[in-house]
Amino acid sequence: MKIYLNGVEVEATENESVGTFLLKRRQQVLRKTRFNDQPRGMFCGIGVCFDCIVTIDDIANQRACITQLRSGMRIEVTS
Amino acid sequence: MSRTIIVGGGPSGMSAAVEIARAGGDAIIIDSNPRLGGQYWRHAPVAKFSHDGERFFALQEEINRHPGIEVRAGTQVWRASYQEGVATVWLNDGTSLTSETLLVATGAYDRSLPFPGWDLPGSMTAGGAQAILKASGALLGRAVFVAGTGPFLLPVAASLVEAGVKVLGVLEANRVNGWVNHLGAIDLRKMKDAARYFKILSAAKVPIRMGYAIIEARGDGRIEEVVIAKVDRNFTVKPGTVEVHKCDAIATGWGFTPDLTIAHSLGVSTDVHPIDRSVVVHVDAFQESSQHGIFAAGESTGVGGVDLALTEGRVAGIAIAVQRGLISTVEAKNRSVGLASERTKIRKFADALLSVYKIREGWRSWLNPETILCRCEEVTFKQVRNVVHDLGASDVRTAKLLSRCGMGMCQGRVCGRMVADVIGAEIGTPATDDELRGIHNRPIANPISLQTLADQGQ
Ligand SMILES: Cc1cc2nc3c(=O)[nH]c(=O)nc-3n(C[C@H](O)[C@H](O)[C@H](O)COP(=O)(O)OP(=O)(O)OC[C@H]3O[C@@H](n4cnc5c(N)ncnc54)[C@H](O)[C@@H]3O)c2cc1C
Ligand code: FES
Repeated sequence: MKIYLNGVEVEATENESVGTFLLKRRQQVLRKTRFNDQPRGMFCGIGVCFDCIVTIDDIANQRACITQLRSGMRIEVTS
Repeated sequence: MSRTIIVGGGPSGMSAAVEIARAGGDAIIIDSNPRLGGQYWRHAPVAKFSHDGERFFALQEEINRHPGIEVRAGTQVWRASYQEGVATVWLNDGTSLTSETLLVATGAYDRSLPFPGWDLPGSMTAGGAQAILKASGALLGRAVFVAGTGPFLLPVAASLVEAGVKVLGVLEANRVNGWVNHLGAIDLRKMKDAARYFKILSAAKVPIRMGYAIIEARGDGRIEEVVIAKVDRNFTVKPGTVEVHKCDAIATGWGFTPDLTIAHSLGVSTDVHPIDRSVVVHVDAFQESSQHGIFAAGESTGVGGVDLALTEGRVAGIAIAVQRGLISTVEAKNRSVGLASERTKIRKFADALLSVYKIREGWRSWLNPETILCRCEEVTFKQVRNVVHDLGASDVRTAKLLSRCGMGMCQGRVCGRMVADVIGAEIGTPATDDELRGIHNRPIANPISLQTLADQGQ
């Protein structure tokens, strides 16, 4: 299936979270922080810490680690 | 009567569901994970376990076979309430459920301690590193350190080794000769597991260093190196023992924090654990909480691992069956043979572990003024000190409000306890039991869309 990563079409497989999919592509950094513009990636891996938040299908603050990839999904990361 | 609601499909929720089903009852299991299994049996869509998979498959098979048990996976409870003997849970799929019986089986999450650089990409919790590996084979890095305290560091390091990660060291901050005082409580099954992990680690020549900790992580935008040091019995760095090592990721874990968000919303009484001061649901011998019909099992009643979660889940499931009139108390006794003594034995072992692998106060010596304490709101150690010493905050709640610690998206799940300890130390009086309880007060358990909020009112 295809998904869109920062507007670019990429091949993805089902049954994977957005977070692990990106990590496997060596995308450790998922966002920059609000105040200090510092990079953040996955920390807790189970939906607790909100460090992995990305924009998915135009909805901000979605936790990459607990959101399953879907065909056609549009993911925006800042790195 | 509507069917029993089980929040959490980990070992405790699954074993409770099976007992309810065996008694001819019905229940719905809700879990935010896409699959049953919880943290211990987290797995890819096609389940494969390196060991201990049989117990999972047996429970899953029995749950699937019983038409009375529905599994609603991939769904979160974002709010819960309890009024006049009826519990209500609101789900992020826009629906809500009510029942006279509910089981809190929400488990735990990693307890974390801060240090300079713990917010860099490449720094994960030990459980998180394990979770992404189990769920999809994802690796946190290529060359990593595993550090913190507790027996859980060993399986994490062993799974990373088996997955092909170069584990540069396992750093256990405590000295495990503390064990000598607890020999009576040693659990043989656990010793066998530990032996297996040691075998994997020693075959891969992974150094296991007792009395060591990661005191800093550094790098340009991601972890490139760590500073490790020997710490004394109080976790204070021993001068002259600092080493710097290259690596691309770290997994740190300091035990677990019971997830009390849902329990708290249901208004149940809680205890502050005498050993580690974690807040746990208060339950009676039948795993029933202070609220009639609200039961709790697994890590939410105190961290004790998979075997305790399974045992407590069974006790709760049988007690629920009695309360709903499905089986007699005599029948319940027959079904419960050995469970109470098993539970006592494992709890004793769990308490022994908590004492040996305790978090000692000296960890605060690793902090520098710019170290982030609250990751969400980016609040530093210096800022927390300022609200105490310059603004005069003299209790945990005020210091948190003024510094914004714990007010971000995670609602203090990650920093709550550790910030309470820092503030307590700055003020000069440790956080009170009620201040520790306050950390778990989150009226909205999980963020939801405005649409769901509008649809469900309030
Ligand atoms: C990240 C992590 C990894 C771990 N890995 C291991 C391991 O590899 N080996 C090991 O022995 N132990 C591991 N543990 C320890 C673990 O706590 C116990 O082994 C065991 O899984 C506890 O069982 P439980 O039933 O109490 O809770 P859990 O297994 O934690 O199950 C609780 C379930 O409740 C769900 N839940 C919680 N709140 C909500 C909500 N509001 N809405 C919907 N669902 C909710 C969670 O998604 C979870 O699936 C891990 C713990 C963590 C936090
Ligand atoms: S990594 Fe913690 S919420 Fe996703």
